[in-house]
Amino acid sequence: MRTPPQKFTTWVTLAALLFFSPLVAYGEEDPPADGSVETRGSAPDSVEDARLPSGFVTRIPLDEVGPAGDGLASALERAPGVYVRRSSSFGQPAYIQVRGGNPRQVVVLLNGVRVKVPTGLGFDVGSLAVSGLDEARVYRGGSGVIHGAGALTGALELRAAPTYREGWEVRARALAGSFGTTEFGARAEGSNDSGSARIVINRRQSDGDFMFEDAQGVTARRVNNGHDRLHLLASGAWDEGGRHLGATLLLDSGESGVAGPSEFQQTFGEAKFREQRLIATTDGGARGVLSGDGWALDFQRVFGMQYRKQDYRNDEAILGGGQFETHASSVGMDSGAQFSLFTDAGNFATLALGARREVYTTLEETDERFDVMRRTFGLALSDEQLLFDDRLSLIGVARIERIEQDELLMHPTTGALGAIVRAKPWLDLRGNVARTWRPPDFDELYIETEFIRGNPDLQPERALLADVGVAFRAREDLARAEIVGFYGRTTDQIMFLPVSAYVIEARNLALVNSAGVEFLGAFSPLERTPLSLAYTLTEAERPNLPAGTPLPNQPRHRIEATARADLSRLDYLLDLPKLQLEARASWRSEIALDNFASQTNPGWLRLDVGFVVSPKSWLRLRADATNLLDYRRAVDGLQRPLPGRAFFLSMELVAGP
Amino acid sequence: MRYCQISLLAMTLALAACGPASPPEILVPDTPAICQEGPALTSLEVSPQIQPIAEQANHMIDANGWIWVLESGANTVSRYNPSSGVFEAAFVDLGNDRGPYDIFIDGERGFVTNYLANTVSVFDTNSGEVLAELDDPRLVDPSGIAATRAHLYVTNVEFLGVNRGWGRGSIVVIERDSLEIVGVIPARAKNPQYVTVLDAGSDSEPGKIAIVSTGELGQVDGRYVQTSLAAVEIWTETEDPLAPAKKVFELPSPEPGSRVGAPGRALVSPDGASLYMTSATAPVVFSIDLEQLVWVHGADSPIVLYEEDSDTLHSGVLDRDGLLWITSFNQDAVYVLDTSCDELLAGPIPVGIVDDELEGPIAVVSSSSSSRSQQDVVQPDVYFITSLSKQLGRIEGM
Repeated sequence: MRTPPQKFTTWVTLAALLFFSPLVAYGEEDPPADGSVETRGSAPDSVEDARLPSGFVTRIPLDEVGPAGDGLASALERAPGVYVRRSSSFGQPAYIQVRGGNPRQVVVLLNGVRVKVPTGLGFDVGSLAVSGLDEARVYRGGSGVIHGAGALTGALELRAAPTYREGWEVRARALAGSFGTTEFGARAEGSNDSGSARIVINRRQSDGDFMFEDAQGVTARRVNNGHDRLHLLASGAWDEGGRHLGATLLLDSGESGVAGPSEFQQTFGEAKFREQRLIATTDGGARGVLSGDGWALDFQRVFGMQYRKQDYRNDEAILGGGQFETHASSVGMDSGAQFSLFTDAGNFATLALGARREVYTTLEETDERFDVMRRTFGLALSDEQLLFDDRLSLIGVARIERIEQDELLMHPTTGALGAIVRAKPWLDLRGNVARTWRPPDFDELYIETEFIRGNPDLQPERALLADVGVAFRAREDLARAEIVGFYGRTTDQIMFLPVSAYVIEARNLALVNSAGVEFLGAFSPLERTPLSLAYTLTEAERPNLPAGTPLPNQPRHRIEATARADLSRLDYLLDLPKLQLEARASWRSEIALDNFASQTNPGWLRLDVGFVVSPKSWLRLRADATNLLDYRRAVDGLQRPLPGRAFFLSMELVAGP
Repeated sequence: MRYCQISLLAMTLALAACGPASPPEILVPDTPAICQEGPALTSLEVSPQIQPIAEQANHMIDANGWIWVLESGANTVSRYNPSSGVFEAAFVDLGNDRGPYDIFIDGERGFVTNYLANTVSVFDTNSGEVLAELDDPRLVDPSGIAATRAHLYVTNVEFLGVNRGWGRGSIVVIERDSLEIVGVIPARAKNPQYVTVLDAGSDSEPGKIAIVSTGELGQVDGRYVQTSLAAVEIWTETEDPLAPAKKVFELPSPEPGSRVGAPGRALVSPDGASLYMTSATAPVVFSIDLEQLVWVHGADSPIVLYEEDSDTLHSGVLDRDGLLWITSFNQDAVYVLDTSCDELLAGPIPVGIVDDELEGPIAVVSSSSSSRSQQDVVQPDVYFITSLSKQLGRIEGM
C-alpha cells in the first residue's frame, strides 16, 4: 500500500494559527496566580480534570520517584488500577495497562499532546527517562474519554512543567548500581517573575546481566539485556497577565539488547533495537478572553509534533538462522483548541476541537516499503452543572471524531455521564458511565510478515465502562482515602491469535469483561512519617472461556505500600538538611502467561528500601536496594525474567543562590 | 457464565466467591462401524483439559507405561501416567536454547533431538537425568529420531532460514550402543523430518525404517504448500550401515491450486503391512502397501478427511485396532479413520473449549488401556496435546 498524496496545507495553517496565537495559556489546570510554589505530597493523589471532574484521575509526582534507577515504571505502579508489564530490568521496555485492559488501550500524552503511536505493544514507559518530567496523571477507565478515540480503558498524561521558583539552580548527578548500571545527568533551571526554563540532559546505560532462575529452577545469567540511552529535555513556561505559554522539547535516543525468553537467550543473543524519539510540544491560552455579566470564556490550546524511528536487527534469527531486520518510523502532529465557559449559574462548559495526523512507515527486510497515514478530527463538548449549593454536579461529555485512513473512514462517538455528590466537606461520592472506542492500530490492520498478519477487516474496539467511588479527605490532609468499584465490558477486543499452525493474525474477540475495586489511601500517623497504600482487585476475563480463567498478564490482586520517614533538620540527628528513609512493598498475585491460563507465574513480593541524605545543602547522597528478598523467578508474559536484588548509589551536586 | 456485579462492598464479596469451574467435557454418542471388517466405537467422553503442560508442546509418545510429552518452548519432557494419573512436569530438563523436536524411548534410555542446539540429548527414563548430549557438526537441525537394534537414526532438515529455504537434508547414522556417529546419508528429498522404525531387527535380522521428507514448504497464494519433491524412503539395513537398501516413494510438488502433499510422520499398521501419513498442508491421508511396495493412496488419490481451503496441519497415531486417530490443528478436532477399509469412522470430534480461538491439537497417542470387546466395539483411551492452549486432553470410551 502506498501513501496517498499528502497535503500539508491545512495542517500547517492550523498549526501556525495555534502556535502563533496571541492568546497563550498553560494547560488545563492553571498555576497559582501569585506565582507561588505548589506544595505537593510525594504520594499519589486524586485530581480532577475540569472536562470530566467526576472521573478518577491519579496524579503521581515524579520529583521523588523511588527507588533510584527504576524510573517511570516504578512511579506508575503506585497508582491503583494500573499494572505495569515489565519486560526486564531498569531501562528496558515496560508497558502500562489500566483496569484489566491492555497497553494498546491506553493513550499517552505529553503536556496534552498525544505521543503514543498507533502501532506496537503500547507506549514504552520503561525506557523513557523520568528526568525533567514533573508529574504523571493516570486517567482510569471512563475518565480517559476526554482524550478521544484510543483511550479505551484509560490514558496517561506526562507533564513537564517548570515550577515558578525565582532564581536559578544547577544540579549534576551520577548513579552507579548493580548489573553494570551507570547514569550521569545534569539539570539547569531558572525562573523570574513571569517565566521559567529548564534543561535536563541524562545518559544512562546498563549491562542488565542479572542472575535469574528459569522455570525449572536452573540459575542463569541474563544475556543481551543491556541498554545505552541519551535523554534531553528542555522546557519553558511563561505566565503574565493571565496569559500563559509553555513549550517542551524531548529527545530520547539509544540502543538496547532485545533479550529473548529465559529458555532461548542465545537465539536472541545478538538482537538489537535502536530508537530515536523527538517530541516538541507547546501549549498555552488565556483566561477571560471574553467575559460579560456573569460569564467568562477561557481559551487553551496545544500543538505538538513528534518523530520516532525504530530499527530492529537480529543477525541470528530463530528457525534456521539468517539475518532478520525491520525499520519503522512515524511522524505525528497533534493540535487542539479548547474554549471554556463559566457562568454564575453554576455551569461550566468546554468545547474542544482537535486534529491529528499520523504517518507510519515500515521497511521490511525484503525492502518492501509500507506507508500508512491516519488523520483524525475531533469535536467534544463537556458540561458540568452545579446544583443544590454546589453539593451536586452533573456532568456530560460527548465527543465525535472523524478518522480517515486510506479507504477506511470511521466516525467514533464517545461520551460519558458523571455525577459528584459532595456530601460533606470531607466526603465526595462520584460515579461515571462512559462509552469508549479504539480504532485498530496500523500493525493490527496491515502488518504482513511470514508468520504474522494484520487484518484490514478488523472492527474497532468498543467499551462500556462504569465506576463509582467515594473519596474521604481529613482536615489538613492528614489522611485521605479513595475507594472505587469499576466495571468494563469490551466488545470486539483485538488480539493477535494463531489462526493456523503457521499464521498469527489480528482478530476481534467477542467480549472481554473486567470488574474490580481500587483503593488509594495516604495518612501520616506521625508528623514526619507519611504512609500510602494502593490496592487493586481486578477480575478480567473472557466469558467464552471457563469461568475463573483470567486474562494473561493481569494479576487479580496488586498492593503497593510505601512508608517514608523524614528525619531532616532534627537536632539529635546532626541537623542534616535532608535525611529521609523510604520503604516500599509491592506485591502482585499470580498471573497467567497465556490466554488459557495454562501457564502461570506465581505471585511475588518485592521489597525496596532507600535513604537520602544531604550532609551539606549542596550535596545529596542516595542509596537504594531493590527486591531485597532477591526473588528471581518472576517473569513477564513472554517468559522474560525480572531481576533479583539490586543496589544503587547516587550522588547529586547542587549549585544555586 | 457469571458476572461479578459491581457494588462497592458487595463486589468484594462477590468476586471472592468467583472460583474456578471444573474443566468442560464433551460427549460423543456411539459410533457404528463403517467398515465390514472394522470395529465400532463406544460413546466417547472428551476431556480437553486434564493437565496443563508447558510451552509449545509438539510431540508425544506412549512408552514404558508413560505418556511422554515433548515441550519445545520449555526445553523439557514431561510425562503422564495414564494408570495413576501422575503427571511429572519437566521430568527432563534438556537445558536452555535446545528447541527439542522429537523423542524416542529405548528402554532405560531416552533420546531427544535438539533442533536449535544441533545436538541429541540422551536421558535416563527412570530418573529424567540427562546422561549425555551428542554434539557433532554433522548434526544440522536434527529433527526425527528412531533406533533399530543396531543403529540410531537422526534426520537433519537443514533449514537455512525463511528466505533461503532448506538444504539438501540428510540422515545421521549412529551406533546404538556406543553412540558413535557412523556417517551421514543424504536424503532423497528436502526436509526429512521424521523417521519411524518398521522393524527393529535382531542380531540376525536387519532393521527396517521409514524416513519421511516433507519437501520444502512455502506460501503460494497465501497458503502453505509443498514446493519441492517429497519422499518416503524405506530403508533396510545391510552390512554397511551407510549403504542401506532403499525403496523410495516420491510425492511431487502439487499442481497449482492443489495443496495435497507435505506428508507427515509414518505410522505403521498393526499388522505391519501398511504405512499411513497425514499431511501438513491438506486434510488428506496417504498410504503405502509395504508388502507390494506401492502407493495405495498417493498424491493422486489420497484419503480425504474433509474439505478445506485454508491451511491445515495434522498428526496421527495408529492404535492396535487399526484405527488411525488424527488431530486437526486448525479445527480443534480429532478424526478417526478405520484403516481396514480406509473410511472415516468418526469426526470431527471437538476437543477444544472455545469457539473464537485456536487451541491447536498437535499430537495424539493411544494408550495401551484401549480395549476391543468381542462385539468388535472399541473402547478407546486416547490422549492428545494442544500446542496453543497447552493442555493434555483425553478421549475416553464410556
